[in-house]
Amino acid sequence: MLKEKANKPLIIAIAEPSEILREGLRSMLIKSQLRYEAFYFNELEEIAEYHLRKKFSLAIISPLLIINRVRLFSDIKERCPGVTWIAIQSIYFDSQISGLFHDTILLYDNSENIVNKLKKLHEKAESALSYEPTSVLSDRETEVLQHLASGLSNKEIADILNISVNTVITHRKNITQKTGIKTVSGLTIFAISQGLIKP
Amino acid sequence: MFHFCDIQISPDTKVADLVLENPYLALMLEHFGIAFPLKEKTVVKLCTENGINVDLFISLASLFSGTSKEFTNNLVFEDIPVILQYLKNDHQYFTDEKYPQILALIREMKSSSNQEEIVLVEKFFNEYFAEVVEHLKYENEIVFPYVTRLYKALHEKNAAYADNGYSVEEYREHHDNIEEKLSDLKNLLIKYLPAKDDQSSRRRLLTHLFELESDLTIHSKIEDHVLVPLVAQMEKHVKGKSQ
Repeated sequence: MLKEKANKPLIIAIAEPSEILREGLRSMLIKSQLRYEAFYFNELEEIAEYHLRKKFSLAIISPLLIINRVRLFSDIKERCPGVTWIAIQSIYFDSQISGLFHDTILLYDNSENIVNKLKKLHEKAESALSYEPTSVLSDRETEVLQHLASGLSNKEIADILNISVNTVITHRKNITQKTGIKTVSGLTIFAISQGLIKP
Repeated sequence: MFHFCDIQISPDTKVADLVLENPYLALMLEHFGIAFPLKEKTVVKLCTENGINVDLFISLASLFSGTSKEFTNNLVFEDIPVILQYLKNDHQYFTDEKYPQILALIREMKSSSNQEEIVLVEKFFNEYFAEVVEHLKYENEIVFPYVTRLYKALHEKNAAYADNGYSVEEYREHHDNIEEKLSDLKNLLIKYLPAKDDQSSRRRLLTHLFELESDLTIHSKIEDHVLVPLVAQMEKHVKGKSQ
């Protein structure tokens, strides 16, 4: 079972010392119709610190910031797992630098190309989220759980699903075995957290 | 939280060494009414100073250290007041210390994300705690006074023993399973509840829940394996005499 496609904003960290480039990128994002939240930084370390509170999925930075600081950059990448790092390539950088990034934006790319690139990254980040299985329960077990969580007894559930009470009990045993949750109120919280029932 | 260490506790063991190995023993000492600093005192010295049976102390310390397999048979009726006081102190620790700590952390989680699930978790924990409190109240109001009456009947001449038909058998049956909800809560927090900037409060909450669980487990082991057998023996003496 897949989670409903969560339309979460793309959380972007941007570190670009050149005001012309930064403001250009900013206005491109505003016009892009992407759902995003952008945070602007002066230094790389600030990104790592802020990442503790706000999980970025994308960081767009100037490679100028990592010249002679390659080790620091590797360290920061380690501190920010799950972030895709994109370089704004304004001048030629040797492959040792550009190889540290997942992708690049070229200074002469048009806005359509850049926005498309970001959209693709957004989708990738979202699908990574949505492929997380929400529950190991079978469809039948999910049905039993939904009725159970809405307060029905074994007998009532058996009548609605047209199965025997013993079968309901077996499903309940399996649900508990799979989730590790034994009580009905615990299972109700589980069902809500997995979006199986409405609170 | 069980902490496994291989120190075989003997009367000559220094208590400070035990606590250095397993900090959870600090809680046991507190319940026994033993205060820090422990200096170089051995088990036997500390027990003599505090009027505790050495075998009882070693039994409980082994339970906390996870090394205990069987309880000692060397307990005597005279240990009853110490055991009762220990259990009462533990009750107080649940209600006055552990419960407010856990509730504060759940509320902290709630404030960082006012999700429906966390609101339900608070309700769930309160229900759980109400069950615990009911159990503690039953012990404080029914079981402990009963045990005290039995004890007095054995030890004080002319103490009238009014048999109200209660027996420790009833207490044994009253022991219900309140651990299930706690285990559910741990599973929900570890496996399922979506995170909303609550990692730190969630981690601290888990630590407290594990501590609570471990202490409750030890608590019921003391009741089942120490208190109940001793009380059953006292019943034989007292009720056998009066018949």
